[in-house]
Amino acid sequence: MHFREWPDVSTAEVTRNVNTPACPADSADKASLPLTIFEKSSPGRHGVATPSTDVPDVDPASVLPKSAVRAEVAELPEVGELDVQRHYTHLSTLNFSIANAFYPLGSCTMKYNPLVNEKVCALPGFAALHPMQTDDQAQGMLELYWRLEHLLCEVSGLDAVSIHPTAGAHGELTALMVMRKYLDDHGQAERKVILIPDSAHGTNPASCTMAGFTTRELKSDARGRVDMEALDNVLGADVAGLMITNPSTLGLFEPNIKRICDKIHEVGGLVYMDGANMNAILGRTRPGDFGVDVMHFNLHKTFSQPHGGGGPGAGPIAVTEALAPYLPVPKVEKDGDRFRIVRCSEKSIGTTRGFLGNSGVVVRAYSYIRSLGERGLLRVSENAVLNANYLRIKLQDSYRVWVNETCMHEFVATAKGLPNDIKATDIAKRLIDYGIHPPTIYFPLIVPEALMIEPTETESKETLDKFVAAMKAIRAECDTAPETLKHAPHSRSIGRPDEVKAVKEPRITYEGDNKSR
Amino acid sequence: MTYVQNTEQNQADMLAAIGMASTDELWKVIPEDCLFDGSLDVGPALTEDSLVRHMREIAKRNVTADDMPSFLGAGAYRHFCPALVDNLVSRTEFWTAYTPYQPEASQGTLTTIYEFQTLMCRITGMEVSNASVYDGATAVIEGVMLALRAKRKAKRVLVSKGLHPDTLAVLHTYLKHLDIDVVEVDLVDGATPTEAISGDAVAAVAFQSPNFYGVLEDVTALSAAAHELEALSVVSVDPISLSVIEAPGKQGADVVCGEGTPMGNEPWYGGPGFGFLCSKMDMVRQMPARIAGETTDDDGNRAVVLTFQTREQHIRRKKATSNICTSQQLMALRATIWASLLGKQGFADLGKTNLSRAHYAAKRLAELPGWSLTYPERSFFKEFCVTTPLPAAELNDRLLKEHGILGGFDLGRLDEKRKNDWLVSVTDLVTREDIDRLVDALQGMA
Repeated sequence: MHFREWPDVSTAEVTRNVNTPACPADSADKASLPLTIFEKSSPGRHGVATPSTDVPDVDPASVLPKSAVRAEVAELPEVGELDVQRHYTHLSTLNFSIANAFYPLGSCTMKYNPLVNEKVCALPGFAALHPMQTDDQAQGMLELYWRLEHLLCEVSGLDAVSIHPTAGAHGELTALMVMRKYLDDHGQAERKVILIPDSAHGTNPASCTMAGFTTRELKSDARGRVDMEALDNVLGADVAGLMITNPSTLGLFEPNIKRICDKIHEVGGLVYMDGANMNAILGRTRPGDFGVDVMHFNLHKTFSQPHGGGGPGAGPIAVTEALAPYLPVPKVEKDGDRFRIVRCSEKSIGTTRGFLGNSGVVVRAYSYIRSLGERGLLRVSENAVLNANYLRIKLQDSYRVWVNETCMHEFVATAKGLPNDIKATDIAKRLIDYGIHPPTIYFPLIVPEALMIEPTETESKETLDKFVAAMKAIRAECDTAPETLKHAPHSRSIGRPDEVKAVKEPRITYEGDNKSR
Repeated sequence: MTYVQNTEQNQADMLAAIGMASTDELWKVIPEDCLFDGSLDVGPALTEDSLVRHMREIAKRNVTADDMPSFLGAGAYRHFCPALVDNLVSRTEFWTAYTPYQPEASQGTLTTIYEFQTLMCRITGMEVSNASVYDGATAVIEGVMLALRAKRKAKRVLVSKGLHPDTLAVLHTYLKHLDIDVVEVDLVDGATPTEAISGDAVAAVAFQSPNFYGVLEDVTALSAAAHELEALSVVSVDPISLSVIEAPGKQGADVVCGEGTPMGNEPWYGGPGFGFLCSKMDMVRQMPARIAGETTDDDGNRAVVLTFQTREQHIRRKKATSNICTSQQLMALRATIWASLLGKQGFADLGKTNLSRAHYAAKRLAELPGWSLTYPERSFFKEFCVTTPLPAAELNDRLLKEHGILGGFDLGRLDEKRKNDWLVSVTDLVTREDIDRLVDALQGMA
């Protein structure tokens, strides 16, 4: 089954495809249609041949304690290569992806993932490099880390970078640990409170808890910005810092950012910037220049690393000179014309993951930035912001834009007030029928029935126009065919799944063949 | 090179729709004193051909084991991986998608997560698995934090010194911020002594088997000792070893976790790989990160969704079980396809090949004059420690330069007193011929 690419909006089909088109199932059969590879297993069928033993066979019982010998072989599927190829090829067709659909998932920056980056990161010199090889044997990789650190310093306006953290949330946690250590070292151990705007990503407060901080929520004003009065009211000697997302999750640049940073600094706190939305400001403004002390990047958002169905990513952090000594180890240093890993450093917070970092992601991000150059980076932010504002203007008559002002890379509309009790989720599900991945919904939490739309710079005006047409058609359906929306999608292998049942009758592993556990 | 598709005409049309004369107006919302007017030192833009040349040049400065025998493991292992894994994972529908927030548009990814969870539970003998975490080291700390949530009042954890040194370092870094007392347990003859598992208010006993030195730990005895203290046993394992070694779930482990990268992934200089985390059903609400579960849709069709999301940061915020909001999905997918291709028999066969070749290599090395196994009384799977007459650093240097062989891990890099201890890994990618070549080369160095 394949998606229909860009169906004519006026004639969008509403019939549902089934998993196995050649064998339409009645409702009694549906529960028995195979879903997983385990259900395609036949006893005695072999997949690929593994490397043959060319040394004397060792019986596990002869070299292991009796209790340590595996009694029953793990029940892996017994399938052939062709079975595996068909199964996973089929599963892939059930996914929306950037490669087959417009994917305006707000806050996730689903831009084109250039294939040249995949090509270079698969070079054996990178892919097969072993993390326990000596620094002498990994000079190329260490140089790449060092070079990418420099590039990230440039775009952030900050002084030092660590590419150790594995994801955005991991970068947050690592950076908060850096802040903790810095404050402790400066006799500020009693500062325990991190201020977080109510529009923030959920990872922000969760990371604070893991780093031993408590959090205090900061109200946004009616325009979605930090309420300066509310800020004054929560400042105090217990404040360790502020975690701010700029541009915010509403897609707005914080107009008071400099004053906010000054206020935090005046009370002795540090400013952390969640860099999830860096794509909007590349080359236009730099966090280090407007007062940020520490930030994280999402290499998988801003720098085109493929999202992989949920990962891998990388969450490097950039800091001011004052915080640099506290960055995690291992860390790459240049020593003359050689590169080496520093594994121990007096003030460092220590280590937050195994080995140096997500090196494959480093290769791709470096490759991406080098392919663009400065002019290319400026075109990224320019077109990301232009595309978002174009969509905002074209959709503002159909959907209420929560803060309808010039936005950055994304904007948030609301489904609140739509006729016939249509919800954000109904709009999202119906978009799927139009061959478009839905925007982020129900986030940020301060906007009811939120639809968070981020087109990215790599989409053309023609694609945006098709999206606008689909959104307008759906808006019309809110009046003319509300039931169609409430039961959408109608074009996929499944309709809306029962999420309550998934919790009440948990099935975390497939057990239908009675082989597990 | 640019990946922007808008033409000048597109831009002009869009600006007209917005009511702006030029793109400069877009930046008026940024206060003037925040605008950057310098230039970025990021080098000239490279066209695709020059970029590839540039990257090849850099890649050449690495010495890689791609085409030479490698005996280096120490936490990162290369195993046989069928060509079909690369082919299927390169389907753009998998690698350019994101977290499956919309199940109707993500059944492909969700089904593979469900399969991955099933697979990891069957290999480890556990009941629940999440969709994967960052890596092996963070899997262990997440496992320990799970235990701390389950045993609320206990503020101490015992950690074996047989854990990978990076894992130990990560445990210290994280737990320091949660005011948890971390007690390291010294090894005796390369293994964690059961009698050292003692103390009050212990939430978790964390150890690795086979441990960093290749030594098989007594999972049953250590887990029982943990239970005596009313603590959970958190066991880090090499999933490949569970092809021949008993599932920790059957030996009393409460949490089984580890580095999953050897299953179908390249070492990638340490990442991206993936960590896995498995536990028991009664602890599902304490699990961190994504979990998929099977349900049905509004029409009775089988469907997979992300489930138990009330544990997670986007709902629970500061009270979430973890700040993790992603998985290493593409790497976990590689592992899932890899395991499906090997199948029940292939996985068992692969394990025996590792076991047999490693024991062949150990026997041959121990026969060299002046050489001996460091822990002759202990059992091992695919990696073992040998004590050498020459410093391991010197052996490695000469093996690489004179014989084109990547030697084992020089334990002197971690501990000055262990310059003559060599950690040797022998996987299914190392043939008998490779082992014989290694032994011949070492014989010539005596």
